[in-house]
Amino acid sequence: MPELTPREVDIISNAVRAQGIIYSHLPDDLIDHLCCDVESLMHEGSTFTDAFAAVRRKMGSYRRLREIQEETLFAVDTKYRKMKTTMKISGIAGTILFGLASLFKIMHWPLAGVMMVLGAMTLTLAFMPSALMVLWKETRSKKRLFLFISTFLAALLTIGGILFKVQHWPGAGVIITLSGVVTIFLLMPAILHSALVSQERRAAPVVYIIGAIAIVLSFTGFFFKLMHWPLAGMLIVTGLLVLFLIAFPWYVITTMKNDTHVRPEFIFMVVGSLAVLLPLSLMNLNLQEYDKKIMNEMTEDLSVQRNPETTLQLSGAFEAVSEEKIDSKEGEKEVITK
Amino acid sequence: MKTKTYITGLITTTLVFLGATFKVMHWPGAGKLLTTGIIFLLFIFLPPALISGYKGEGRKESLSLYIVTYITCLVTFASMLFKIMHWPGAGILLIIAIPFPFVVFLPVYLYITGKNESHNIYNTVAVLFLLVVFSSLTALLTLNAS
Amino acid sequence: MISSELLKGSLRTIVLKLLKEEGPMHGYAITRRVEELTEGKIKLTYGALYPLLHKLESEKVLVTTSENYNNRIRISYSLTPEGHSLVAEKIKELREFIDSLHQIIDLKPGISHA
Repeated sequence: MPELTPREVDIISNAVRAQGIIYSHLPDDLIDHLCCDVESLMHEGSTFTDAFAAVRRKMGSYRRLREIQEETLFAVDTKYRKMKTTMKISGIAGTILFGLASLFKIMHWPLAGVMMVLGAMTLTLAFMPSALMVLWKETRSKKRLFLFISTFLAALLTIGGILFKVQHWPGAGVIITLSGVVTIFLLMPAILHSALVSQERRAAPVVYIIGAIAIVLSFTGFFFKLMHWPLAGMLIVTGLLVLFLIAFPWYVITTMKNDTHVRPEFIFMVVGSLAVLLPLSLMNLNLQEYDKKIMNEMTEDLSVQRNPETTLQLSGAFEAVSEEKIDSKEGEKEVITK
Repeated sequence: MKTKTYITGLITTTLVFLGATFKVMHWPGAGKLLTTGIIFLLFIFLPPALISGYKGEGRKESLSLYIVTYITCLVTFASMLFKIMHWPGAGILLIIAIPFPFVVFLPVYLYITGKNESHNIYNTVAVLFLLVVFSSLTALLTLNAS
Repeated sequence: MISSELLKGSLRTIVLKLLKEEGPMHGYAITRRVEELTEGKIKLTYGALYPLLHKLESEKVLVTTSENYNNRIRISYSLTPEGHSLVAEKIKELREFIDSLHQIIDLKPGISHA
């Protein structure tokens, strides 16, 4: 009975793992079974390539492997399917609600606040718990669990923080601080670790580490900016610089130089970076103009203690008073000319 | 041969990164950099990249997804550009642009990838995540704009 | 080829009986042996076999061991004590079912009740 070489076993193993088959020892079951099928065909005279192709054809398609994993999970735990559906629906609904809410907010249309709260609640109370449970059932791996929990905790705090800030509810600062801490000290290490030990890692560890540091720097800077702490700008610029001029090109060069066609992942990364950078620069703009306005008001009258809201009210009143003065002056003129 | 497109992609991110930096530091030329970056994205990088990606995937049904992706990017980034440059029409463009990814792109994306056998569910998660992040950022924007 | 609908309910009993009589086996071996014993009439598919095996394992009827075999990991399934006692019960059930089926299938054309 011919035996597969290690390389041939790897090919089969990678094909199975690429489908995201991760439950319990199912990957091993399937890999071994596929290898045996291929070996028996080779025993009848085929080459490895032909045998493997024939086995794949008989199975139907690669997606069948995922279906088998689903059926296995469902056989072991009947609640799994319900939770997965909940996860899918709440994930999509929550995202859409949150997204539309920001449009409503910009347009000052009513219900914006309600939509945002609903969206945030759907995501944090329905999507995240169900997704966490689904992922736990699929992997039953403590290592990955840490990654999932950190991700959800960070996302929960971030969404909560943004919600509180936009709605001007108290406690926003605290939540945002917590989200920043969790993201930087829990989530980033978890992601980095997971990327480094992943079997699909294609670039040298250095690239990932540099990228992680860059992202941490940028995040920290952005966080400082939100809290109006100094040095924010420097952190952001340094972090982004390392990310876009060093880590990203390096990663692309090492992993994608042999591609015949552009990978969708690359398009996603480019578009994604812009989708994040552009609003960020717009935001900086507004914050700076806002701060400038405050500075102007404050230098005009140093004796009065003001907070930003009073300043705006006062400047509004100031304009109203000046209009009145102009009106009354014209009124006087009219009286005189009459 | 596809290296050219990868290079234009990298140039695009570099341009926009520089533009954002200049804007934050109040250095002159920020607007030009950002404009050039967005133009690069929409007219120099995306068309060849999307065509190549489509050919590489080899599934005829995905065509609508690639087209919709392009239109969504066009609408979204053009509106951001108008806003940054304070050009007229920014408001209207923004109204169309903000729900566009959710109302047009997302359904098409879910439909097409739902049919695709070898589609990775983690890709869907990444796309959803990006949409949430993007809308969160625009929501934060409204904090300052209002 | 026996249809999968007919097969579905009895698969559990088949697997349990096989593991009882022939000791620990891995998935491929189970498939192979069932095919041999039934002279090719019953071919177990991946989709039918592994969900069942994992379910039996979660019910503590089966237990698994892993070993290295030719550059990959081989998972072997064997009966637990609970599994052993379950086999007799399941076989009895299946036999009763088969006998009942016989009653119906071997029905001769009857004289209609006048």
